[in-house]
Amino acid sequence: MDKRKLHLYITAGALASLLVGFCLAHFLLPDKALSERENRALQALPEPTVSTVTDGRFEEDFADYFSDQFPLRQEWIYAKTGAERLMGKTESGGVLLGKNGYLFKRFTPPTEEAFTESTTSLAALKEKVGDTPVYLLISPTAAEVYPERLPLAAYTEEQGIYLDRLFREAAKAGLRTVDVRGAFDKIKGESELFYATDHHWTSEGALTAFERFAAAANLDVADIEYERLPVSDSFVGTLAATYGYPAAGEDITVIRPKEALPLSVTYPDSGEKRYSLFDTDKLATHDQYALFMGGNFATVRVRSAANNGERLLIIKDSYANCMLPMLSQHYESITLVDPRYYRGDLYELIEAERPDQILILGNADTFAETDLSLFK
Amino acid sequence: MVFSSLYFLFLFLPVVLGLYYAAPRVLKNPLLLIASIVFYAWGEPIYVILMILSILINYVLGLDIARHEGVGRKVRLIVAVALNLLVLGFFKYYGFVTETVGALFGLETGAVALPLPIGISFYTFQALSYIIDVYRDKVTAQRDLISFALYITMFPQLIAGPIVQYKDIEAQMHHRPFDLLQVTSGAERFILGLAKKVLLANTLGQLATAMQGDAKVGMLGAWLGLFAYTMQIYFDFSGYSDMAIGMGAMFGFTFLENFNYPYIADSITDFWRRWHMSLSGWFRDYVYIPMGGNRVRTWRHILNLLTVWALTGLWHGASWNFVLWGLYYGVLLLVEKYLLKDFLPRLPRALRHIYTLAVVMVSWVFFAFTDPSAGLRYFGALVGVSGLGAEAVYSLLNYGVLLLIGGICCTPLVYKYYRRLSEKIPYISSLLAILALLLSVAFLVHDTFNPFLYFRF
Repeated sequence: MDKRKLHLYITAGALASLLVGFCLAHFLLPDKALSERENRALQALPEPTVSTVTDGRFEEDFADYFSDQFPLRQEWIYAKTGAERLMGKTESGGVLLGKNGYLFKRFTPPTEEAFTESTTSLAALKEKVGDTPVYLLISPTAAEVYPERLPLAAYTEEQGIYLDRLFREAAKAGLRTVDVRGAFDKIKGESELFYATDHHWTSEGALTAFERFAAAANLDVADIEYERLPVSDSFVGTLAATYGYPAAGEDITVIRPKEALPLSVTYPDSGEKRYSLFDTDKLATHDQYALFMGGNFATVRVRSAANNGERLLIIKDSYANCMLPMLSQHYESITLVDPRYYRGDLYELIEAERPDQILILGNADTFAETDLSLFK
Repeated sequence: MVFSSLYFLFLFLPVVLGLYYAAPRVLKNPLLLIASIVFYAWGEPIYVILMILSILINYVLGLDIARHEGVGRKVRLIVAVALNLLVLGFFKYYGFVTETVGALFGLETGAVALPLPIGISFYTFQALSYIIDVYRDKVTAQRDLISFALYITMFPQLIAGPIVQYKDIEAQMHHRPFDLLQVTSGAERFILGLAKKVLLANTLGQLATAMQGDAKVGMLGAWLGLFAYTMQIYFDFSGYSDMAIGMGAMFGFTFLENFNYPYIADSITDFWRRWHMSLSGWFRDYVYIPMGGNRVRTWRHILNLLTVWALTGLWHGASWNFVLWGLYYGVLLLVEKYLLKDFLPRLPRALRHIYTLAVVMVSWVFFAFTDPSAGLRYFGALVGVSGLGAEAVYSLLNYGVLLLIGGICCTPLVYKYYRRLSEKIPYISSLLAILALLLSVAFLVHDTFNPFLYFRF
């Protein structure tokens, strides 16, 4: 047989086998309901009805179904990102792959309108709560704190500029700004302040930030000793999932005071009541960071045996979750509100909870995108 | 349906191919027709009716034209052409026309344009080619409705061409003996087209789109984006054509080539003998030559050429930037024909190629931006009005290898060596093809990768 023919037969044969093989595998293998790595439900086989077929919904859903349930989906994704890395691509899905496997989220600066909206909302909040001090602690992310680990020539100065402007405008509106960047810079060599595969700060980062807040809010932290408990070495976070990076697991360490006060945690949405800030069941799932507070909810109430009459309201994103162990020593009541989920009236809640202090606690990436119309 | 999707590749295609090869000869065409209608209806569940109507009307009119002579024949031709153009004009250009007229008279029209039925530009032009060639007695009017319908709807070329003229396919409708060499060559062609589209066009497109969408793009970024877009458009379109031709071959059809390494052209005239050849061929055969072509006095020739090119531009999209794009080429072709005819061949080859590429790349800026202010801004960025934009070095590092590979693939070199390899060391060449296929699938799977960050975070 001439060689060209051999080449064609092999190639065409491979195409046929691949198409038929995966087609069969697709339908023979059972469908999956959930993707832990992608953190979403996978499309199930849609039912064709006259209306869904004629308006295109069935077709769209079927296309999603076919892709979501495609055999070896995760392996194909690793192959793709691997091939891209070979060609020098260091970014995928808004996540940058830096040195030594460190992953970073690309900061997207808000538009001028969005920025003005947020600063107006902050000013509105301060006005409405009158004398109650409002602290603003927006943490930088790993891209800002460890820029030397970013891939070559990655451009990310925008986050620093954003934080500068944010703190300036907030201070003008009467908020007490807590800028942790200086403290992070000093300690970043000795401690890992952020996870390598996740967009959150580590407990070390949270502790460093807490100490800055404590200084600003005059909390008595002089005699507090902390213990560090390693609870996992298999954590693979959101950034690895978004990028499609086959990361090895990393450590999670819990930091809490050695003499932690007893406390209760109430979740108004479900009515559940617990007696710990940690949900260790979550360590068995893919989303191990949810160990802290069990995840994010519209509101959560923490009552501790501090018995000092101090009440704190935290308007937060998920960064706050691992700072609770340090905060709960100093406040007998802490109320958490997540503006991404809370649908009620913020000021009614404030009136009900009567906080002595309000802390807005989050990170630059999330805060730049969060809708603060809750404050108006 | 889209060729570069998992459900097409791994469900529709294997099922249709399997049924086709298993089917007895008399059922092959009806099977393909049904598959093609399903293919079209999948993307256009409502407008499929429009296409079916177009088929029926053109079928009837074609037979009618053939039955008459003289004036009656001509009148029927005019009716048929007018009907086809009216439908195309209505669905594609209604919004464009009303807006333009409104702008001329200072009126706010608030016209709501209908959504454009997929492929209408392609299948209408194929229907017109049939009608006109029946009139000219170049082909026999097709009595078999199924064959005629298949000509219009055949799914390999329905959505994105190549535009197949009826005379090139008439004989193949009922005579396509099974040829293993043709089928396997088609499979190979299909894989190469898929790789061009998924590995090159889509990836380069990310860079192009990012730069085009960045209002603050600097000179470095703008040029990177323009190189990327230039290659994206070529790989996208030619990749689709390769897939169409490859699939056609798998069903026993031979379609004409649509692209012939356009970026190695050494003049604009040469470029248009290599780019989207089925479209320029269609305009030549059905507009330019009937208008007199170049066998007329000079002023009339200029008019003919500019008309054809304005129409070519307009065919690409219902927006003035496309007309401008077309006229740009029309003017340049005239300049090359009348002013540069003796000068151009005397230039050193390298300069001719650079001249051609520069002209073509500029044309893509017209093509990319329907909003004139955005287009002007991009032109400004290209010449440095917005500064150097050194942060684009990051994009250069990320896409540099890809741009280089893309550039080489624009030349015949890659295919030539691959082809030679397949004739000398078939195990390695087939491995390369298979790798390209596997990588294409990986990229397609990743396209649907959609992690939802904030639900629980």
